Amino acid sequence: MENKILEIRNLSKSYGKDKKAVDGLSLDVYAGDIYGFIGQNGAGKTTTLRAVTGILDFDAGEIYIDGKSVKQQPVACKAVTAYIPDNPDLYEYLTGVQYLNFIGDMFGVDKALRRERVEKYAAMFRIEGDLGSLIGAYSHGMKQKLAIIGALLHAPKLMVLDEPFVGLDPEAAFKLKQVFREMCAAGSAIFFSTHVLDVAEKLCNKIAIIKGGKLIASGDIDAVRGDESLEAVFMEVLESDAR
Amino acid sequence: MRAKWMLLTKIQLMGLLGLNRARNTSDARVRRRAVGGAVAFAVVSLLLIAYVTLFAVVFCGLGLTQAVPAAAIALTAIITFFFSLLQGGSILFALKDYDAVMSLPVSKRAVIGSRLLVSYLVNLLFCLGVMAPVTVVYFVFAGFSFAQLAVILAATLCAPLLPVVVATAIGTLLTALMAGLRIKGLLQGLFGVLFFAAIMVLSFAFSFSMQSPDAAGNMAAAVDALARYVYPPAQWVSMTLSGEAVWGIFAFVGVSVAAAALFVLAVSPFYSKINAALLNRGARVAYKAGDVKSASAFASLLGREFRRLFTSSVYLLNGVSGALLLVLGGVALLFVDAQAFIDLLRAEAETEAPYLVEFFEQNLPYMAAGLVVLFIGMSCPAASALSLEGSSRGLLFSMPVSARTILLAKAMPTFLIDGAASLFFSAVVCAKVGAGAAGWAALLSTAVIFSAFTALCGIFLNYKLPKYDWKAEANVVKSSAPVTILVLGAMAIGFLLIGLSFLGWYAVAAFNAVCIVLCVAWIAYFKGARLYAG
Repeated sequence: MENKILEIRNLSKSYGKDKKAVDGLSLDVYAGDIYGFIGQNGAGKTTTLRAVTGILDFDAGEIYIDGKSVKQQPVACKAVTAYIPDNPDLYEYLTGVQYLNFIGDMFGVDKALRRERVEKYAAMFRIEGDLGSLIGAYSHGMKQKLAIIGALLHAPKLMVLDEPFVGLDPEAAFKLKQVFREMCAAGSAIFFSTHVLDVAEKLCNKIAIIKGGKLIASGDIDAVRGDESLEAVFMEVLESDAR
Repeated sequence: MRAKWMLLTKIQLMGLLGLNRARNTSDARVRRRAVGGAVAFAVVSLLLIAYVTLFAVVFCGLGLTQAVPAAAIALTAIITFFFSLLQGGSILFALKDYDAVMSLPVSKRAVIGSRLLVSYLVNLLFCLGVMAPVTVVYFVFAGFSFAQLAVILAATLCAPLLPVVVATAIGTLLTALMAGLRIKGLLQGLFGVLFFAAIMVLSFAFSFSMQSPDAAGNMAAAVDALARYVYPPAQWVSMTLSGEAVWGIFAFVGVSVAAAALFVLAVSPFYSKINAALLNRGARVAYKAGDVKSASAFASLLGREFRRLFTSSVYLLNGVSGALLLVLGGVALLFVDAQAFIDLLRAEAETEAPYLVEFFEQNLPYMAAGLVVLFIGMSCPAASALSLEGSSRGLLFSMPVSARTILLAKAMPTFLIDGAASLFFSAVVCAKVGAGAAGWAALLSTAVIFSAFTALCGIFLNYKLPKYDWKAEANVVKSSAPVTILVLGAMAIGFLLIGLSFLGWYAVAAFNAVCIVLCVAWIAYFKGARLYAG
């Protein structure tokens, strides 16, 4: 039986009276899934991701992470999840290593494991020489890399990422995809939003398309796109809601 | 392993004083700024301790020894409440690290508790600066006792807690009520300003009600009333110190801690909802073609500065408090029989110090000029206008406009707001005291010139000492280096001008001339200014 890491059931979230950002969205992410979440700007992707990570309260529905309710057991859910927003706002007055130690402390990662992972991922993303510098002196890409290392520090079961490839150099993007695959092979799951359909098509085994807060299509990528390219399917979806 | 709320608290504290930045940077400018900040902090602390010691000795010398600790606690509580109120809900809500913190495996209670704790610790520093000298003076006059030391220590540690909680609760309530509204910033700001005005009016009323025929009587009445009526929990401390009731200190500690715990418990169920409404990324307003307008770059920048000011309650409240006091003072003066007050002063002076009569008659407008300077300098939006650009500063700095245009646009709201308020106050003072032409000229010119001085000095200081890496707006609008330097400096200048007012209009004219020279120098300096996103 497949191990369900993330279960979203009839998720709804409104901003104000009129604007329904997410409307009755349901999807499942299993261990080993690299699940791409695509849609236009304002379609409800970030709202969904923020609700999954417990940052945003939602009006209706349920979200379960590793079998636990985000509403009932938020801390337990967050303990096995890592979230990287589209524009990570890190503490600029901390050094890179101070930030990673803070994250390690919050997730209770023991010292030896922490050192091993920091060394491994810092070398992988080529920022080991910058960890002693203040984050304020980092470029956007370096901040993104630091946020990724922080997210990987506690070996999460579920990684939730909002546009993770924006700002990364080609090598770092390649390494990140490699990390995704390694994590999934080890039983974790990745759920991320992206506008780069080419990346989604090559990297993901499952895909969900959201439009106007509603899930238009979801499932195995081959089933969703059929004989067409993902781009063609996405453009069709924009034209028509029914698929 | 440390508790998560402690880790959150530590991370926030590391960013407050800039010490971590100074310790880990190779940039000499950052280190120099940190050293300068530490020196300024030490000087202000020493001044505070000296000032408090002086007052404590005077009160104890007047035989009010037993009332002094409770009065000091009451006073610190009021000041803490006042400044916490200026922060409003900004210590808890819409912080830039909200997403990052809330995605960590930590409960909402721990997040709220850590935010509240940081505010408490900052205020505790001030409280210790007041209570340490008061305690020493108290034991010198009353004799030392370990039991009393324990009571004062416990009271000192708890003193800022209740005011911080009550002020934050008021801020939270206002934030929660208006979170879903489009003009929430403006409404919160207006409510905050109205609340601030109400407190000022009450404090003025309280001061007047404490008037007694002699100075010592005034002081005794004020000291007694502080603990008894203004902040009753302080009276419980006094009762324990005097041996009247041991439960007093336990009640004080219990109420303070219980209030904080209750607040955290009460807010946590609504924490995400309020933040979601404040950080709302979904609600949009239908665009109308008629919204397109055109203006000059400067006018557009100025409009943007005003919108920034009026859409942030904490910025508005901290930015206009001085101007608001001037308006309130002016309105209050309209209803006060100033002539009767002057006659009363004259009658007292004629019997005790007749030489003062002529002095007051001649120099009242010039003294008022010093007062105007004091109030104008109390708040300065320009001193934080640049820092508020924060992480999005690159957008503004890449615009095809000169740095001088940007800096002057950022200084302009301060000039216009302070100028209008101080002109109103000055005109009312001149009319009420029947000032002559020299008095009118001195006061009105000071109002305009010092408003310009404050605006330009504020933006100059912010240009030299920017702080872009803030997580809460309150970090820059309330306690950043430019704001602190400007407010303390303006207060010192105001007192200096009041002191020099015996020289008559010469002093005011010389002062204004110096201000004009500095204003011109700053405007010229801004021509070569460069703004970098860094």
